[in-house]
Amino acid sequence: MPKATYILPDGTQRTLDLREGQSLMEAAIRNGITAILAECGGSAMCATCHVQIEHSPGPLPPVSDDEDAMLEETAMARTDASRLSCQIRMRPDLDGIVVRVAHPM
Amino acid sequence: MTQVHDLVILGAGQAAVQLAMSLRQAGDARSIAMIGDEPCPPYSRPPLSKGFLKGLTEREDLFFRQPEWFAESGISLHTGVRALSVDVANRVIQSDHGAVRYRQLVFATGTRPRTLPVFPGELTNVVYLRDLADATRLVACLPSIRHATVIGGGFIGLEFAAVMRGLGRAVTVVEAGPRLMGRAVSPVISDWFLDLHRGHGVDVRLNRCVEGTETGAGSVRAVHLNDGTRLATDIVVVGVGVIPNDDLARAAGIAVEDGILVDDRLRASVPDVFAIGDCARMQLPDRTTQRLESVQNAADQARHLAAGLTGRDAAYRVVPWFWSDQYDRKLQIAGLRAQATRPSGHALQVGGFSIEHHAQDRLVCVESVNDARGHLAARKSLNSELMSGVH
Repeated sequence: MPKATYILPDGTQRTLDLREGQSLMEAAIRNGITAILAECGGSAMCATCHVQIEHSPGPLPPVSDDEDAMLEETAMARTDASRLSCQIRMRPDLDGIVVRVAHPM
Repeated sequence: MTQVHDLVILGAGQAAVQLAMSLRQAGDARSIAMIGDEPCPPYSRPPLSKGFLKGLTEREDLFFRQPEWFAESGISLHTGVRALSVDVANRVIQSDHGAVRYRQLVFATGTRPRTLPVFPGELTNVVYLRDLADATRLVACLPSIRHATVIGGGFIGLEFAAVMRGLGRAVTVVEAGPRLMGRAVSPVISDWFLDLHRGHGVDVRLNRCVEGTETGAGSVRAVHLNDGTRLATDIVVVGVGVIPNDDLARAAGIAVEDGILVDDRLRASVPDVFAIGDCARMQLPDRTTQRLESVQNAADQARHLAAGLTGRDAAYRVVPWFWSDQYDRKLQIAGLRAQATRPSGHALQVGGFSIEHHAQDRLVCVESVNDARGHLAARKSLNSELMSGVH
């Protein structure tokens, strides 16, 4: 199964198996990574699933206007690497993606 | 032996879990029990009419926290347990799995679907899309649905219709009122979405309701509308509103009126009893009351109550916001349209637009379609009006 690695706020790392089509947010929630919240259930309405892309092996889906607007609302400051993890769904060419999890709100 | 907890939360939905999370985040160590009648941990409802139906999201992806988190956080989570009565004098809850004592009690019992008498309860292909069990049934039925009848042209029904069209299935939406999402949006938005759905091939019937059904082998085969039309159908999905679960509170002598009445500290009429989320009807400064059915309200009231319980006393005042995802369109609403006396101004963005609504000179609501920037600007602007104490 394709994998995603999450660098947690305390510096530790967790590598998770994702199924194709599962979002990075869903995998984090499902595996007990409590620093990622999913307050709106993945609709790009709340920005509680903010992550920063450390490394992506393949091209990520482009940032939509909705996501771009919500990224201005994150609790931790936005960087060029910021994404809403609910908007990135696993594909084979994203196997090995590494994201940094923002500090929880 | 009866358990005793500092705080008992009746309900295990979004408001309940947010309250528990916020208390623990604040370092509060009081003992907490959470009692919910669904057989699973608290989960997110919005995906039930979106990604879960499309098969993108699975059951375990929906839980706000995995089961282990509750035990690790000192929260006694009781799922599949139905509370039967509350004795506020003795601070005891009777459930179908025994009694629980509390020092403080929070009602986070949410709402249940309004049902239609024209569909007797035993019909196997009538689904009130409210909870995970409903959505799971729907997903199981999806392969065999060639035609779906949606009763109710609100957010839930229209999101379901959009998913069905995405799967290439036929859909008829039957709405009793003159326009779609009549409770929540302005006529311009209703019309815009009517065009959107018809453009995607949804058969929308306004000013219509179901008067009768044809059934066979325990399921609906066809529905009859009040204009004499007959619709052969494989499934009926009903979304005609919800009713607050305030019955336990009423029976306990707590003041209710279409929801449990609370003040701006979310306190009910009995000491050490609170209510948050869909089930709570809150008093406003102008002495009207308001009960909101939304993720935002559940989460924000929960956070506010946690703050109050940990010594940060303040009045709850937050601008409500709502959204609905239909096809590739995102409808977002900031503020409440019901307060508006006139719409003014479409602000057109590339690919989207926002409509502002005013009451006298005051902005009270902005409806946006594919204009997240406009929506977020509206939230900020409406919130700063509230904070400045203008109203």
